[in-house]
Amino acid sequence: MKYWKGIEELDNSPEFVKNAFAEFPDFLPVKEGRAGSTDDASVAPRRDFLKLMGFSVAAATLAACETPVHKAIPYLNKPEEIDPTISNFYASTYFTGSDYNAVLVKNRDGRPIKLEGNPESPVTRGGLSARAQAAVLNLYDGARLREFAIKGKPADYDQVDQAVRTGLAGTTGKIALVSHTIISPSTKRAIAALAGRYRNVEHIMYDVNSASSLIQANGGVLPSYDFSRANVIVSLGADFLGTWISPVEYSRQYVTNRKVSTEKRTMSRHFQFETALSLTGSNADVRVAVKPSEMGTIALALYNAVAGGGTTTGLSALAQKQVAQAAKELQANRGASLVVAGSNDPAVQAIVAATNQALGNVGTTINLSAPSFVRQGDDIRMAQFVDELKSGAIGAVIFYNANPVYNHPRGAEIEAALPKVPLSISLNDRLDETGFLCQYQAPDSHWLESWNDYEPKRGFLSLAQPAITPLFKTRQAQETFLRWAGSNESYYNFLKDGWRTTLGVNAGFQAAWDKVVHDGVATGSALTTNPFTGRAMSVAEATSGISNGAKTGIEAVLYEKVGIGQGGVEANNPFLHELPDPISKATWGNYVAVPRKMAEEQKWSQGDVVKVTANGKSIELPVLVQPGQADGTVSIALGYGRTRAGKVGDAVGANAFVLAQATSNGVIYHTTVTLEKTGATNPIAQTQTHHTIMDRHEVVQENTLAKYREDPKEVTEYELVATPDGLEKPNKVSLWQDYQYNDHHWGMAIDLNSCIGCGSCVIGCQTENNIAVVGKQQVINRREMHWMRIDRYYSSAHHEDEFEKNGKLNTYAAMEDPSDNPQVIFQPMMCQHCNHAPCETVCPVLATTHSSEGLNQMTYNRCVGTRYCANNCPYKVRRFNWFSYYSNEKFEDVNGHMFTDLGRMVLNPDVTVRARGVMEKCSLCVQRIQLGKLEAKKQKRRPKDGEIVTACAQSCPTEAILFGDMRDPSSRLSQLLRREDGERAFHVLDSINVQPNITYLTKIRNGAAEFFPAEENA
Amino acid sequence: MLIVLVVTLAIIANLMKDVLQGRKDLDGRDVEILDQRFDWAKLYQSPALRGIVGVVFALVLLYVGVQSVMAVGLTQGYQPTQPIAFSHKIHAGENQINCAYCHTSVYKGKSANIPSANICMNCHSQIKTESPEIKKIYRAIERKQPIQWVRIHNLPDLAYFNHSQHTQVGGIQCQTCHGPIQNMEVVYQYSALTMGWCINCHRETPLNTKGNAYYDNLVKLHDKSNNAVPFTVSSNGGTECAKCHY
Repeated sequence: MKYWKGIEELDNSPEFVKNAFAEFPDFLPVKEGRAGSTDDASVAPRRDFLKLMGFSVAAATLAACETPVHKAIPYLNKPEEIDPTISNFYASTYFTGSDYNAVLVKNRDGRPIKLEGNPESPVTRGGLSARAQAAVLNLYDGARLREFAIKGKPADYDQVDQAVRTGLAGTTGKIALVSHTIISPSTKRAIAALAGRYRNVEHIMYDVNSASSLIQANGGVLPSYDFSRANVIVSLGADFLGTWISPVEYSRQYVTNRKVSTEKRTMSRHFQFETALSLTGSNADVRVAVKPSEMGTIALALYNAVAGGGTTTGLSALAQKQVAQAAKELQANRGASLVVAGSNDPAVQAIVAATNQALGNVGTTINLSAPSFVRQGDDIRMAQFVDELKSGAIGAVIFYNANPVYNHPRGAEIEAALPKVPLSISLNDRLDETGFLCQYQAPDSHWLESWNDYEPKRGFLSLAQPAITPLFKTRQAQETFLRWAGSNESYYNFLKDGWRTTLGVNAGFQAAWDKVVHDGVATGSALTTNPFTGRAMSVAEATSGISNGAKTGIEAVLYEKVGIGQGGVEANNPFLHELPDPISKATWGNYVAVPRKMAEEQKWSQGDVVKVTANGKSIELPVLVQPGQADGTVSIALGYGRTRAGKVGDAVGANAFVLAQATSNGVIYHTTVTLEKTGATNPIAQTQTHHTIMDRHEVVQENTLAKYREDPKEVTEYELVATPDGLEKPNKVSLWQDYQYNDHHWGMAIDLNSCIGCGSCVIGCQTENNIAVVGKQQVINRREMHWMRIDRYYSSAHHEDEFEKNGKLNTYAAMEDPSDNPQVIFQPMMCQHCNHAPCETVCPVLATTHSSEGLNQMTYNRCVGTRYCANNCPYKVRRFNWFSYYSNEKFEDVNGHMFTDLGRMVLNPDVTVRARGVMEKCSLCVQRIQLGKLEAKKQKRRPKDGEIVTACAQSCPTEAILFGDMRDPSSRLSQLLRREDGERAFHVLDSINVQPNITYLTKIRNGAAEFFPAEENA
Repeated sequence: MLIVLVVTLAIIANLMKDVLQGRKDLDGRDVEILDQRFDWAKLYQSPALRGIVGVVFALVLLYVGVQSVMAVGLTQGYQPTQPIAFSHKIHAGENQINCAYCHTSVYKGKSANIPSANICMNCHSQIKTESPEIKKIYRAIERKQPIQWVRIHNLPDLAYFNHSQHTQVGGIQCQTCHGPIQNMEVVYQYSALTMGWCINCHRETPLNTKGNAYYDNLVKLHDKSNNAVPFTVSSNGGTECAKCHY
């Protein structure tokens, strides 16, 4: 049979044959112009050319309207437990050298996308720090090393293993393994295996923010504390809610004894003596600002007062008074009190240990038999290591997640000596300041890609399991140690074998093991305490070691920030850089916090760059005027000024580790400095620039415990409006038609008494809702995108009685200025989901509407960006997208998680990535509500209370946020609101009658006004 | 159709005219009628006609324009060629294999799940092993390269759709949205998948509340206030923005 396309083909005419082989004509019928042409007709004029062009452009445009072809690529062999679009949760553990958190990893389509607290853990009890929340982003960090390398050249595992084994066997000097604190029993066994294979291996642990002296003072162990059993807490510069030892664990304990209700009208009492205004200090009932050099004297004075020793001189009258008061209360609560100190001075820690001993706290609030393991660093050993490195005694050095070139005060010495070491190996995850100088790179996998076990406290075990196969050609460090020790066992088997002994079951081990993998936590112990170099000082020794009184000159204290911490792997995490500091609300970089008095004297204003010099080293940073900063002191955050962290973290702020002093007793984090104005300015990106609430009780309310004890109905001020029937609550009068909620009525209660301001919810919200990071300049332009913020207000009783004398305006103007040692109050603020929402009425396109479940809905696709809603929002919680943060190359570095394929893996597929020109705001995690409802419907039941939680409420370490259904009378939220109605429950700006679904509970302070050192400011 | 009618009429008129002109028994008046000339030029120049035609033309243009703009991104009827000539007609139609056998998460998750090759292998390790199409699956498994199907139903990312809500909870049949899938040799997009299409169904479909304790109280409340109206998806808030857009 013959097929033909046309008559021509059938005929096979010569014309057809000629054209059949020329699909395209030889020439385009377009000529440049008419010049020289004789035959006008054959020439296509330019106009025709333009017409042709126009047509083809139009045609191309139309053709482009066609939908692109999408591929759907299923698994070849689907794992049984993975269903696309259904999230799985795996229990794991976060510990990167500072704080321990038991986590649940939310895995979606095989990718970890969010971390949540593991409620099974008896240590962190479902809480999660901001740092741990943000840690999921580190997995997709583009700055991670992608393969093994020898002297900068990529190499196979085998090549590196071979070379390292030969090198280690051949070395004549000492082999040093430098790491941060390791709380993993199996990792320690793997290191022991390595040490067993070669001669002269030494494992040196050091902590970036060392607790060496604390361990030393307690006979070589780090005690575990129980803040929940302490009625009186005295902290000497220990930021135990923010950064000290185990903040999440302590926060939960602390708050247990701070929550109040009509039935429980007692609270612990918290004294804080400190230099910089810390997160802990801002929560204290009594806070005294002191110089770091005074801390020893205060510790001694307290000891003397408690133990009945001699008198102490050299204290200011105020400190003297408060120490006496603290001592009095401590003595009244023997065995139910706690004194902690953040100092790394062995003398101070020895005195504090003796004070606790004298108070009978050991065995009640202090547990020495179940010590904490999260700090094991030994400063003296580390100092010896640096000396040995310089003298050439070290033949080989291995760095395992340790970056001493950057974060040790003697980093410069290490940097100079390291290239001379015959064999240097880095297991760090990136080519950081230390790893860069090493010959061999054997990058460790991320903890979300690895098996591991942990023992944060004796008797409490925790497991980490891989939630994703390694993204790069890395290998987890423990397996690397085993290879170098000559073993071919996988670390998983090695670990499991160890657990046979730990769990102590032989028959039925698999079942017990499966339970541990499922729960993520277990009881049992596998870790032994390390022998410690230093010896505890006696009280007499310590007393003589404490210099009397404050030094002259400006003292600087170096502290850790709640977000960026020690500047380890977190340093390249944009979430943490943009997390506002709880107190200063500053983002992106560190600064010199100075008291107002100093700024006035020196004529510095905020943002002026000063040169800070100490011990011959100097750094340049802008000045930030910080209320609450002790007179004659400044404070500077550690963890910034990285040079090899990655695109995000490099050159943000300055490295303050160089100012720390490495003494023979350990690293001291305060020093005397000189400050000098450079003339340059560097603006500080703060998210909150107003400081006080200026008597506006409608926004945030607080009262004293004394008042609450007397009558809980008297602690909250309610605005009433005049109606024909007399004074009424504002919601009794309305022009609006009320909504009827048949199904659910979602709401939230935030207990201001429990909120410590840590910022965990802010990051939880950010990871859950794909919120963009905007970078320093946009924060300065007030365009940060956080759906949730924590407002920090300073307050004090000053000026309150001056209305008569100075008039209202002047008094408010005076109140605007925070006092030098203010009280602080934190208030988480997000969309209040008003029932009479002012934003809804002004939207011209109905992009923001009210749902039948009480939610204020934001529909991005309808929004045209008029911003009327933001303008009309009394709470200022709406955020406008000024840029395409996911495609504008200006944001490529800071917002990498929306740019690269690698980074985008972290995005929550259930939440839209918002485009430019739309408004966005808290949705009350509607995706979680919808999912929870769906699960209930599938099981043909009503949702259980507590089953649906928002991201912020899920991981709050202090359970300050309670989310629930107000339509369900038996929900915890409904019960709480019924109980607190007329007592502590209030709505922000109640009198404007927008009727929010978010309720706040008045903060109660355990201290009458006279306890606050007001006279200091006089 | 209209053109055919007009042409046919014109032909008939011409034929009539010819026939009549052939007849000589017509009187003067008839001849006048027969020979009269219609003044086409006059009609052509009349402003009224020009106006009418202009308006009609503009309206047609507008209609076509709006229609084509509305159809941008609309892929109803989209029937791409798949890498493997899989026939739903054979599997779902003739062999009556339950949809959820292959689309494993259709009652569980947001996505129905395109079956992985190991599901194909449950049967095709034995059945029709010689077929060139089946051999493509073997090859994919050997080479460890997953099969790249062409996705037919593409909802925009801004819309959240969950299969299990509709199948498991709502009890909606697959065919309601996917059409006569059991007869499709090659699958095509049966429904428009526009927002109007979604909303329409949400407005009209009564909720599947029977035996589901989630809805018990809601049904009572609904019946109490407006008994005559059926309890639809929309009357339970199913047309609110944040039910699909977040």
